[in-house]
Amino acid sequence: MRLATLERGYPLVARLKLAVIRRLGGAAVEDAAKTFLYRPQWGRPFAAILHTLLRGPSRWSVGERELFAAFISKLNRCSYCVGAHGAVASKYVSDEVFQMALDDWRTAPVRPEVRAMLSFVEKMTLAPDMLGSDDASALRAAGVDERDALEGIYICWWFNAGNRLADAFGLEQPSPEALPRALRFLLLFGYRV
Amino acid sequence: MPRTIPTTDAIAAESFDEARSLTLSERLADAVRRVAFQRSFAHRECGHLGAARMSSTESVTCPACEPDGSRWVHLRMCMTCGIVGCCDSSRQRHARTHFEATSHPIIRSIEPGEEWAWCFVDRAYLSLRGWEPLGRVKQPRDAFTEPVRRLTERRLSEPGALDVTVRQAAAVGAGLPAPLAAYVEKVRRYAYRVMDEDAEALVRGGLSEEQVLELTEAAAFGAALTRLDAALAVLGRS
Repeated sequence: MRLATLERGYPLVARLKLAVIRRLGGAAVEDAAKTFLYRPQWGRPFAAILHTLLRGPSRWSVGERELFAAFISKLNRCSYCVGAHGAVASKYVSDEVFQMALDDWRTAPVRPEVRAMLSFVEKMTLAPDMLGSDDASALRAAGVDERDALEGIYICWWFNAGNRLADAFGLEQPSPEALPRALRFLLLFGYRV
Repeated sequence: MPRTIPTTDAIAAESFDEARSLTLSERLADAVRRVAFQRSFAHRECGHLGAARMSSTESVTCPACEPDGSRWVHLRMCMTCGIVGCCDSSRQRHARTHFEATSHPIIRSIEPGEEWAWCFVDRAYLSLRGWEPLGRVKQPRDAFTEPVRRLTERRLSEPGALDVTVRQAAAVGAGLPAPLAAYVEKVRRYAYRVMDEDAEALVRGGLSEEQVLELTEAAAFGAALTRLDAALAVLGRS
């Protein structure tokens, strides 16, 4: 659904920012930025957490983290987020590896740590009640220490909120022609607004 | 005119653009004091340190910077009340504004591995060697738990267009009247099925668009929080 209230009522600074973002990243990126800037006192910290999660210092590579993001979005069937983060992820890991991981992480040629984390966030997204201590042990056994696990878990937290917001507010998947520009923007600037 | 206290806490100023507003002489004075402090390990005595009660914290953020999302360079903690604030190289200098508001004299650095304090009154660096080590140094570094908690909390409990009790009910997905409950359930379970008609129906039912937005946010954040809590519990961190 598109809420009219998300299309207007921005203060001057936000309008200028949105104009720049639209110019550089296109309408698809501007759509996400709008939801962050609509209530900046909430939206900006929310976006800042995403930026730290996906671009901050971590033992996961940027590609792996974007892969987590796209994977969780796919489980939630959020085509907007799969489109945007999938495009970034396949820039970092190859297109084939990305597709394989998205289709079946069990057989995909990724690090065992990544495989263990994908398994954990899958359960966390689809059946959080089923998580048990054996899931935590599986992470540890694959070499994912507590800090790495927390980062994966918070990426999963973010996208379980973000996917729902993007879908409910009707953010549309960027068209193939618009994708390169959006991609360049996300690679250059990340997610802070 | 009150005498302004010169900036003495510019450990990371070199790497931080916003510290450029310091004058050259202030920066030079900082550097001299810092070198003197680090070289002489015969630190000054300070009568205020005896009254310091707090020496450790698990906080990893500057709470005063968080609401508007501004960044800080290093973190300091008030040793009188344990409040964490940002250093003088940070834009907002919350550790200093805390001293100016409360006259609590001593702050310590809570950067990992740093064992020094600064007394605003005596204008002296103090060594904290032998004090109990910081909580946050022992903890695995986790920059997310606190900001995420606070963000969710604010989103669900700050006054807004929609009543706080309704938002909190939407977050747990229970205790809502039927038309709202059905919408919230939709957002929680399959948000990709939300259509324009859903918003229209809610608006016809007497909600403003603003309220629909907040209801949606509460449902989405609630669904995410359920998952986060489940995951943190199996990790033994709940």
